[in-house]
Amino acid sequence: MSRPSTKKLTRRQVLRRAGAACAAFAAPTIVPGELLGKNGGVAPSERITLAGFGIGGRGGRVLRDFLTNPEVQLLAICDVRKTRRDAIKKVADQHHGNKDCAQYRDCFDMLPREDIDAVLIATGDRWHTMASITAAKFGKDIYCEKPCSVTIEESRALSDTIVREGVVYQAGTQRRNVENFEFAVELAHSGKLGKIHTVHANTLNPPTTQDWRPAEPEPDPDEVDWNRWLGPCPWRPYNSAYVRGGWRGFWDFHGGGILEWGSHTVDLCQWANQADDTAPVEYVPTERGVIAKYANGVKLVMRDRGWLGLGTCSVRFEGDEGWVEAGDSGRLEMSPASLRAEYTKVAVAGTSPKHHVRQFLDCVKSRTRPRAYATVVAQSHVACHAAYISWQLGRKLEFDPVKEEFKNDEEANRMRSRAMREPWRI
Amino acid sequence: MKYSRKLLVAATLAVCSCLASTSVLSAVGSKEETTQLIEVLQSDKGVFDKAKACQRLAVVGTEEAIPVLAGLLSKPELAHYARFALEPMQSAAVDEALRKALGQLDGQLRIGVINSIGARRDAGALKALIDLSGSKDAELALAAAAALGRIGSPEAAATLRGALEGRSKELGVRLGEAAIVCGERLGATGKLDLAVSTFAAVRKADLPAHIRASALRGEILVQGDAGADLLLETISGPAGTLRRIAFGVARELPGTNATLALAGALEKLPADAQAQILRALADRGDRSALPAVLKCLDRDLEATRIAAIRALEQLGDASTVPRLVFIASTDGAERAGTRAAALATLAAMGDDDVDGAALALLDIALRRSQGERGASFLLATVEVAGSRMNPAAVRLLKRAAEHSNESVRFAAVRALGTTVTLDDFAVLVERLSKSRNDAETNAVQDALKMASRRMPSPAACSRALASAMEGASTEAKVRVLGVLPGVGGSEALGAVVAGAGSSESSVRDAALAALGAWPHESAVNQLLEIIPKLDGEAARQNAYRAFHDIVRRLGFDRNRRIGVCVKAMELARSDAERQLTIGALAGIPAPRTLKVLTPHLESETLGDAAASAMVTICERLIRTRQRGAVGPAMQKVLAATKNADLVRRAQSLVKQASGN
Repeated sequence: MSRPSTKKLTRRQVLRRAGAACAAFAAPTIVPGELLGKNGGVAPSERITLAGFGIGGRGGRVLRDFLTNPEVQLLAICDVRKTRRDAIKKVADQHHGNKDCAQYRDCFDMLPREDIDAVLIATGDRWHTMASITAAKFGKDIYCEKPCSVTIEESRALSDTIVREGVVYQAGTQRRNVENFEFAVELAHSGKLGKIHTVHANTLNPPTTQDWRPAEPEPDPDEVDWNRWLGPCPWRPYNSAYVRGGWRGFWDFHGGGILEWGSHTVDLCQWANQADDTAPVEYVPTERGVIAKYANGVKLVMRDRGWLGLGTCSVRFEGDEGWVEAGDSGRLEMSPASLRAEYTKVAVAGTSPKHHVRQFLDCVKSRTRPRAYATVVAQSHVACHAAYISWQLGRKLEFDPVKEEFKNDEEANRMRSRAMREPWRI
Repeated sequence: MKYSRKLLVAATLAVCSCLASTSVLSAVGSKEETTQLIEVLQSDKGVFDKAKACQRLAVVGTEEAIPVLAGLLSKPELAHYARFALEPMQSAAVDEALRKALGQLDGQLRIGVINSIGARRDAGALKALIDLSGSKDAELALAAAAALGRIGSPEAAATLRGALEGRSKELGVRLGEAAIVCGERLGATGKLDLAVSTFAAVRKADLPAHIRASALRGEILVQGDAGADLLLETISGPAGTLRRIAFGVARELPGTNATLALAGALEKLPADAQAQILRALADRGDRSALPAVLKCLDRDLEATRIAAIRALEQLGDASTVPRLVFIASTDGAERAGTRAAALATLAAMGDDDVDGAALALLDIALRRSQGERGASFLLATVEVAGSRMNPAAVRLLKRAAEHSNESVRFAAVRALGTTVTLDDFAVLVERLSKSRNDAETNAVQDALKMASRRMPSPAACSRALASAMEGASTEAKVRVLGVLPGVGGSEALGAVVAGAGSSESSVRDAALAALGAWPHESAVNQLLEIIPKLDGEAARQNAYRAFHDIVRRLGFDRNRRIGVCVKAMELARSDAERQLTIGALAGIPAPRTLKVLTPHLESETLGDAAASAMVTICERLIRTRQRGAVGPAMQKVLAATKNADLVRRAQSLVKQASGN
């Protein structure tokens, strides 16, 4: 089991991407002019060939940020829906001015291609771990949308596989590379808020449903491959609403409201608490959230109400000398106000993955670990899963983050994993 | 179905558990609920109810449920749900049931059972799995191999090593994966020699490089310090996947011995590997590597030098600052990469002593900044002070901002933007008056914007700027007015409004432009109060342009936007002013806007502007499915305009509004 480091984020590291140090930060990864191909193109040796896996709305946004980088070439798209395969092929072919983007229904046909360096995974949540692990086993570098797993067991398997295979992995928790959130974390690390005692994560109302939608006739697999859409999940009858995005909120496919935003915000709280290598040890459910506690005494409050209105996915870090709150508007509030003197950034929306994608591409070249590496996000996802288990059971749970076991609660322990539908395994 | 909804609720809400019993399973759920769920499974209810019963049993099921669930393993529609319930149950009876099913099932159902056995790491199934791993059915054999890997016993390892020989390429990849997982399990349970030999078997096998690389990683890490030799051998070897993963392992192998081994090997490594290992040493954060890293600052190869410089971000301290500043001050295009790397490192180094060292160098540089070399050194120290945002540097930066060398002055101004406090704002405003050209004035204004953004209170920032404006040159006032929209707040707005009343036309126009760029709608009211007081066509047009800009840009309440436009129209004295107001109305897609615009259709001079605005609004109304007002409005446009493009668009809108 590989654990991440818990390095402090320093003010200077936050600054690297902005202001005076901007050009210098990029220096190690700037492609030298002599390596560039003719007409300003990118030399083949510098190219990063990409395959898309389940690219829809959010994936399309991330893909655009990939394609704005000249070294990226989208070679293939895999999707169980023909309309989406066709749409992404059109985007790729128009962008590259050729007809080269190949289409696949089954990732096991696409991933053996040795000319593919990396994959962008933006399927529904149920496939994220399976797709990432499969891609890693074929030696591909991976950018995978969040959440990265739907169980504690998946989180661990993902982390162990990524480390074992030595591939670069970046989860789509892009707020680790959005400046107002970075600054908030830096303040927590710097000691300027005093000793941190509480971190708050904006989560959504937790429940999911066990229900099934009414059965509809299954379409031709070439149009929508329902069996592959389900993947490792339990079988249920087809309904077109699922494949049009209506799978959220169904327990078999979705980790609930805590994970939905917590994969971003709990992740940031873990970072602020320098707890990227662990998870809280105690979870107490509330009406619409969970209050957890780390071994170092810091409290993690997962809640959906009572925020300052700085935008979705807000976080708040409180110390005994001050506090900071940040949200997706790109804005920050803090106390004492004098802390603002070190903040020089223009507001960037928390939903923008631009810097996060760029960091992934840089790491593909340098073979280093991006900020949202598998070992890091596995821990924050474990925290979210443990919280949701506590909320579902409606009782306080104690958790051993090293063994990844609940103490004296067999029911909770049984909820750490879900058996996969045959023939799937991780 | 009614019962299943109860289950559904039960699965997501609290359940009572009996914690007094001793065995694990009896501590779970309740026999009563298990009995109810078993009844569902044994009833003639449909798949949904039985599926939900299984999923609930996964959490609360007791021993009594196991035989019933085992009976479902052969039912294709429920087999997975049965495993869903059985797999997490801590009971030997589950293992027995799965082993029994192994011999009775075939095809996908058997593979599912094998996967569950693997997930449970049931060593009791070893013999059966070993037999199945030799099956001619490849999927079956691979499932068995994967399960053997997860069990990770010596017998499993021997089987997997044997299977690796004489198999197809595709099977080899997946057998290799299973063997690596097995090796990890052996290592985790203390069987180190066996783990090493298992990893080595995969590494040396005729398999794709990424599998062999993964095995290499396991082989190095499981050996601890002793793995350093294999690590260095791989790093020194040919480029490729194995070496690539070795660069990652160089970060993972723990201990100072490994750090020293890597640092000691730096000089002998191939050129392209040196930079990678320097990055790895930086990530290890072990300062015992510092002497070796410092040596690399003098290497011929630029990539090595840059990597060494960047490694000092983690490994350097105040003592390395002079060396880095020297590199940052080196001229010449061929040194651009190292210069940039040194500046980035100096900006990012975390030690507070670094601030002191950098400041001392700035002081020295200011005293000895004669000649080009001196200016380059000073420039570097100024840039470092700015990038580190050290307020203690302001006093020295003020002096640097007076320097004769333009690059130094510009850099000092930028650095002041990131370091000044409210008390020093006047320094930057003064610089506006002293600027020698537009570029320098722009740089100072940018620095003021940066400084304003950093200030804790907009009010205090506004007061500081307003105070600094008093007695400043006209150009300085104009530039400060350009900064105020970025500050915002009522005090800043007051300063801008005061500027709009200035007798100096350039100050007045800058203030009006600032109102147009204001971040809040409060500036609109101010504009409407200012407009009647303005004399001269140019000033009024600038005010109307500002009005147009702010109404178009800020999406405040539509009715309020229409209201202020009506007021602006009443105040307008010329068609140019009315046209700007019509332009503002064009950005408010509402039926009420159409009513305000309609009277102007008859105007000879404003008719086409009004028609164009109405067409634009109706196109947006159609897009948002507000068809009601579109037809009548476009009929009026068609009656009033002869502009061919507007006629064509209006006709199209009429059709769309009628649903054709």
